[in-house]
Amino acid sequence: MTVLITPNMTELYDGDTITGWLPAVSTNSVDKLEGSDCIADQVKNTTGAVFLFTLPGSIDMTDNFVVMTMKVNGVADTIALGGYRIVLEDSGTSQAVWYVGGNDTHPGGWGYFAVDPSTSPTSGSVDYTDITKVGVQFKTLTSVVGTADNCFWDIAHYGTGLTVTSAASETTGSGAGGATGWEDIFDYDTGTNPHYYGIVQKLNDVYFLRGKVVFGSTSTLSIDFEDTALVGYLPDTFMTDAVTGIDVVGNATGSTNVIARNSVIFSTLRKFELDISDTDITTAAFPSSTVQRTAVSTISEGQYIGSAFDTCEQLTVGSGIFTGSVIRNSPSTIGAILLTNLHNMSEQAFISAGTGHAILITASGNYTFDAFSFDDYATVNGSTGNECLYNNSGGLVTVAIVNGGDTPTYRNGASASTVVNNAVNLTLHVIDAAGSNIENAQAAIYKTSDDSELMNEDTLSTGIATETFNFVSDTPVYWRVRKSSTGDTRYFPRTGTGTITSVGFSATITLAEDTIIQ
Amino acid sequence: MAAIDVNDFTINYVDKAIRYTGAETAPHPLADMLSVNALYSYVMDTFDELGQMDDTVPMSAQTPTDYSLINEWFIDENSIQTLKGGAIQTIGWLDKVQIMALDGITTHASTSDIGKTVNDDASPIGELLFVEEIDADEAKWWIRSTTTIGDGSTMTIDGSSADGDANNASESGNNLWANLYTLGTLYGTPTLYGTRDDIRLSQSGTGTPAWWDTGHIDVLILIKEAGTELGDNLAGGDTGWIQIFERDWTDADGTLWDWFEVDLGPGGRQAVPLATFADLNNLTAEATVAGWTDVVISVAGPYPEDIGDGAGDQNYDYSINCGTRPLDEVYERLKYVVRDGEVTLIDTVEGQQYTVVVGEEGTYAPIKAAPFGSFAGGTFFGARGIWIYNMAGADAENYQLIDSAGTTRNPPTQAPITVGGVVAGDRVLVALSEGAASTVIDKSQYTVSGTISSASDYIDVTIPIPNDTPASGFIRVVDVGVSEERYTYSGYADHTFGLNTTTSKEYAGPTDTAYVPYVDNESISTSIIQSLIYVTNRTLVARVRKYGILPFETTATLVTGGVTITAIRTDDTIVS
Repeated sequence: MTVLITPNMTELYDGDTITGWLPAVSTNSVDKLEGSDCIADQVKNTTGAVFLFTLPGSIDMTDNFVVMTMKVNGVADTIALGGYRIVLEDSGTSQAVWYVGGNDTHPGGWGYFAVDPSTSPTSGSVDYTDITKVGVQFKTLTSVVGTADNCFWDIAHYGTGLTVTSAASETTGSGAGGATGWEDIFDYDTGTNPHYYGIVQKLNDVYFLRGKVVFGSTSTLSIDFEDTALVGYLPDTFMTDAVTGIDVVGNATGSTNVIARNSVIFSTLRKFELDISDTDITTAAFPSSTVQRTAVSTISEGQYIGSAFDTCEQLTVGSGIFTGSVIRNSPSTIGAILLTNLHNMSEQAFISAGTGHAILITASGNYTFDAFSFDDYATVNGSTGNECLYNNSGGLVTVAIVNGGDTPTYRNGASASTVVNNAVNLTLHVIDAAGSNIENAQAAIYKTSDDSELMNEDTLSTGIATETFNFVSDTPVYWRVRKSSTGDTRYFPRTGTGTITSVGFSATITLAEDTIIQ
Repeated sequence: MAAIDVNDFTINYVDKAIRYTGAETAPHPLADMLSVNALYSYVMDTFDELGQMDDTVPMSAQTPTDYSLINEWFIDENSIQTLKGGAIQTIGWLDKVQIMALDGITTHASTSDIGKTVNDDASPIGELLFVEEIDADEAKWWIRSTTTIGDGSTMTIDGSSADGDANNASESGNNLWANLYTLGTLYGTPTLYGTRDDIRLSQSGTGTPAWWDTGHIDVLILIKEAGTELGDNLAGGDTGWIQIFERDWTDADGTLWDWFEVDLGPGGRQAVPLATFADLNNLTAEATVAGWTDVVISVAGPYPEDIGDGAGDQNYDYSINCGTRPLDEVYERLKYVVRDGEVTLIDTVEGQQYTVVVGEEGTYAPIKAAPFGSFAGGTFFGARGIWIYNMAGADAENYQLIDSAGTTRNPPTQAPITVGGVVAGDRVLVALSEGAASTVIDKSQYTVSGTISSASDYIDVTIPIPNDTPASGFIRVVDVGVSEERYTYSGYADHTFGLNTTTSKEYAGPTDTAYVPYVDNESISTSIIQSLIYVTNRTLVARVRKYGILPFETTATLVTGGVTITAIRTDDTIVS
């Protein structure tokens, strides 16, 4: 099996005939995008007519979007003034017009223009659950000589996007080791073997997406995708987050391996949803990749090793494996991630944009923060909205900081309480000048700020005295080591300073024998 | 008395103070005092316990004799006085411990006030650490405070009626108690004392009471207080010095004293070598010597004095009238006025602190055993710059002085000529002869200088008049070939005799000569004694004549110790 792209798109018209169009149109075989012809009209420095194609039946376009292909020879007006327009009409003849492009958003030539009918149109209104006619309209700034047409439109679709499957271990693809790659999808859609859905385009080696790309199958098929690429989302004005995104799905039969290594998946205007929640996913990994501007997303499966999530809305991380990743600049005010105690995050960094929390917890219980770090969040517990942790569970959340993580500040929601335990080790190893361990030396550590005692005990035969400390933040300390009891070798006392960091505090103290003492 | 041990010390963790709270009071016998090392060892043993780990260690040791009181811990003077064997410096007192003098006190603070809050003009500034009463209305307070107390502040203590006014602003800084110990041979069991600036450390007299017992000492001396070094060397110009004296007066068991000056500024353990011995010339009871007030010391020098050694006047700083007392008594009196406890000033220095002429310390070599002068073999050896006079005649030669310039001066040796075997009315003449065994008078002893007119009241001669010339007497002038006149003179100087009369004629040198008999008198008893200063041996011719006896004539030689000539009076049975 080779790479299999399955469109989740349905053709509205193909532009090869004039049948079904009102007012009457003509075809053009010279300027066509695909098939035998396209449809053409002359719009001389003005707003052209609305051309509508009557569908065979009513279409419910809920959670779908429409992609139309259009071209202007000459100069279309700006998007604000409706250079390229998509028009939908329902069975009640209510008509809505969306200004979907202009000379300031489209450089010319054939272009794919999209609209989610659920968005507010530029003018008019329509029942997008009952669409009976679809069409286009142009407004140009240039004229043409004679009767030549200057506005063209060709095939159009509606739907949700594309689904990508392949052999379980694909060898014919453009991706790493023959796995499926973005180039395969692009080729299928708008590349060298186009199907003109306008879901995946490419410019300057950057793949631009709209709608949803689904990797894998919920039936029996497999997907073997692995690629390194720069992937961006098109800045469609009238698309919604709901119809934009990347899904990874799996099934119990096939295997689902989706790996975006060293990739950047970004968006500028449009947020996109990332859905990696199917428990049948074999592997979904974004090692060393950056994901930008996702909408509220669930990535409860998969692996995110060294990944970065930048300016993403809240991520539900579930049991996804996060190691050495960073989540930064989240616009979410309630939590960059929604965390459950099933999480598999470690060495996770959170960087605040200045507002919002890093972690939202909505279920009471015990949580482990394994080497989490928090930067630019509120430094004291409170309710500023910028604390590291927002416990909105309505109950007790106990957080254990392990492996040297930062101690998070927290905000308690209604009826919630939070206990943070960041146990780090305080260790003093006491030796003599010969390097031999000194047993029964009194070893103590005190907090510099308030002289509170953190450790005070005799060293063992190993010369070590140790104690745990609930780390909250870097804590300056001073230590004292003394051994001067009568009847044993006596030493000069020593004292010094240090700082308990997220990895604790450890020092080796060499005592010099006190030969002066009686 | 019981030995002080570490359990006599209390560690106050709140005040951060180590205090001696034992029952023993000063003076502390050396054997009973606690070594600093023992205190250090105790402290270190205490502070390595679990319960003390939250407290800073009070002490550190740099050497077995150098210790530091660290981490702002405090120790008071009373506690220091129980310690020996090592120096202690403080580290961390600057701007932490204020030391202030108070006056205007109506109620003194007591030990029960220690630890209470001290108020400066009613504002609390810290806790009282230690208090020392100086007199009825003056005291010294140690306060743990970061605030300097201004001069004149009204000082009170919470929960106490103690009060006072700040006498000068408080001072803050580190202290240094150097460890001073004496070694050597001490005669008897004397009490040593010390001076530091004008503060005397002793069990008697004024000044700070000493805390040590008799015999050798091993003590900690406060040599730096609040960062300021105390004490001066005797020569001046250097601080941190202290002088240790042994000037004990024990009736019938006198001591050749000693003192030593040591620089304690560097701290540490400093040795003071002392060596005192029996003084067999100082056995008179103190009460007796106290009455010898006719020995008077004048200090308004310089005094130009001539000891008679031929060098003329020499300057001396002090002049002592011996009141005709024999020099052994003068010696004892001069020790009495500088003995332990004597506060009467000599010049500007208390007697007990006197070492050499005031102002010449460091220049004049001191006589440590007896500052004004020693006494040995019946001779008084004066210290430099000391002039004595009016001693008993028998002691006219029994002294040796050193003038202010440092030159040793001896009184001249007397060479008396005694002519015995005479009776009242015998005419006696003893004169320089022309040579050994010659009975011819050397009438050319002097040559008249120039022309001496008739009626002159002087006689000039060509050579300096020697010191063995009687201070007064008769000069016989020879008008060679013509006459010889006898004139009385009252004195002489250089080349000139001053006459009590005038010449009866003119004399002219170098023809005319003169001579001065050593004895030229009529006896009034059975002997004639003429005291002379010995210059050199002289050949003499002696004559005794009286009508009715045969003229007696003999020769002799005047030597050191003089000469005795015994006349033989033989009746002249022929004369009628």
